[in-house]
Amino acid sequence: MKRRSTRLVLVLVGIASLAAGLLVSGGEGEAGFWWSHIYGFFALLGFGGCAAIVLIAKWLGRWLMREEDHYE
Amino acid sequence: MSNIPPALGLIAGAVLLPLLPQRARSAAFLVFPLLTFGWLLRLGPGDTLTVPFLDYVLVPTRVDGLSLAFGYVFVIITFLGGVYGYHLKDRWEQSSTLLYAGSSLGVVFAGDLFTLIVFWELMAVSAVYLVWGRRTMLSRSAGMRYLMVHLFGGSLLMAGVLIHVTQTGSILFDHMDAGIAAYFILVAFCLNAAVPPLHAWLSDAYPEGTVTGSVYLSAFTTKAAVYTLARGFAGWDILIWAGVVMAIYGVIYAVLENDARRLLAYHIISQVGYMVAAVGLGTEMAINGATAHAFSHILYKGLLFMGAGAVLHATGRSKLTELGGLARSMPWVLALYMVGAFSISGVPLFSGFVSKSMVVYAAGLANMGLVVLFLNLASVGTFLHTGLKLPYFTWFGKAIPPRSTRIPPGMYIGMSLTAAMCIAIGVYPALLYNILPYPVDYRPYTMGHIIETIQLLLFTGAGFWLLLRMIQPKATISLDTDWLYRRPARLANVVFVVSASRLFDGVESAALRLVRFLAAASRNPVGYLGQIAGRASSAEIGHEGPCSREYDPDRSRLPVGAMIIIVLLGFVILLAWGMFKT
Repeated sequence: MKRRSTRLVLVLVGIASLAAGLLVSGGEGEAGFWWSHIYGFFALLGFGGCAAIVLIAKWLGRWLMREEDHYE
Repeated sequence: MSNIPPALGLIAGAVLLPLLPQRARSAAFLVFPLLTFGWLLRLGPGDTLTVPFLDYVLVPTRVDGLSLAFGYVFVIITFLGGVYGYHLKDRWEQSSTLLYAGSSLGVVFAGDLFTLIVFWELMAVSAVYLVWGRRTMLSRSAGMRYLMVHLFGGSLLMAGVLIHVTQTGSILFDHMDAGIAAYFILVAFCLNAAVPPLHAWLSDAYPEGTVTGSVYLSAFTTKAAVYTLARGFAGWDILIWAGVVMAIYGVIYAVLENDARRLLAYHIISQVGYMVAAVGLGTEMAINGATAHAFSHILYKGLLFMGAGAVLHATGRSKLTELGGLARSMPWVLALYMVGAFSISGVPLFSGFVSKSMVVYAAGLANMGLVVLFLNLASVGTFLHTGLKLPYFTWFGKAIPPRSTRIPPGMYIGMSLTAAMCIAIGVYPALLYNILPYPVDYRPYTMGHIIETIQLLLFTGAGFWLLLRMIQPKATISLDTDWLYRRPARLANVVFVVSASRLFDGVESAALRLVRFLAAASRNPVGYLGQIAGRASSAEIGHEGPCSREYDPDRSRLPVGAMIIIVLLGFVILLAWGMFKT
């Protein structure tokens, strides 16, 4: 991620994938779930899900984290 | 004769290997999985072997599409791991590995519950050595905990089987109907599959295994459990939700995890969640998905552990807080690791893309939207940790100069072969689909699927980049359900071990004091009596060492007069006794 060109390429692919979402009818297989009609849903899931996982885990960490020699 | 359990091919290796000279051992190790694979190719669905035993008929070999698929991949990873571990000199580790692999094969081909139990216990016992083989304090205790948890699971299985056999009279291992026996067996299988809350042994023990051992540990126990669940409990709805919980659970704990290999262990739990959920769905597509995912998981997880193991071998470290900047010194390990990371994340052209999505698709077909959503969320988390966090903090980021040992060529070759398989399956999924138990009606490479996956992964990457500071690893551990037996362990130690040994020590020293007293008194009773009478100082009684005074022969003797009185007294008593007799 350090080099400018790599970052640029990834950003372009990201935009392209969102644009390509237009081509897709949406929905996994036959079942069109409620989210297939939300445009760019999977991009949202990726970003939002990442944030949700990290935030929830950090919050749980307040109770769960201990020093390394906790059991010794 | 030709239907001998394939497990024997590997178990024979386990027995023979320690007898071979060291130079031949690593090469000989590879021979056995090759032979066993050839053996498997000769078996076809429907082949069985029955052996009468007491009142029952055992079925040590039962071949069908499901068991063959698992059998193939178990043997393949044994071979690949053997290449990776070619440099090993520890004959017992190599032998235990073959025993472990062989007993997993035995579980997969077991047609009756008795054979299942025998191989199940053998699996538990042989796997422990792969943890103990690391020979550190931590691995010793982790291995012990692994052993105890698995023996507990084995006794649950035994209980369930006994109840089942008494109730139904049948010893055959097939789909179970609900009942008390089935519940015991289900819990036992779920323990081995690492379903929370019975999962903590996995994240506890796997990172403490040897560099090569963890590759095997990640492959066999959990996947054999997935097989047994698929065989006995397909369609049990509770497994769907257990699988979903597992998938998310592993991913949440991975956020907090600092040790690279423990992070990978938590991801095993997450990925096995897909398989367990698929088993719960029970449809043909779902069982296909579970099998396909098990197959690719064994390969890419093995590859990931191989990569992390190579780092451990070279630097002696596995904690992300102690690693960094290795891209320059270990570029190939990074590249091969990333093949595994892309596979587990479901990047198109890698194996996960064609296997993981089959499970999600099966859930979609069954109209379980929530399951689909959560499994995709787990994918996000998986890519985040295995594909981004672990490699970033190991190979990039702040460079911490490591102690560097050369990585043996066998490791590179093993990793490359495994990576090649991951890519081959991804590029040409029919390779995998052809060995699945049911006919496959699924096309993974649709435009929609590819675009959704790319969106999902790229934007997860964006999230990672933006939240990088929050994802920074810290040198901590996370409490998990193993706290329930590790914390009380200290108390139990005090009550049962420390107090008991203090009691024994106390009794022992009291006994010794009594003995010393008796020895002193009986060595010289007259002198001792004299001491009591106060005529001699107690320091002289029983005192064998040099005295400061001159030797006085009468020191411990009674005075002569007293002696004469005693003799006369004795004489009088004898006389009286003689007189009274007559």
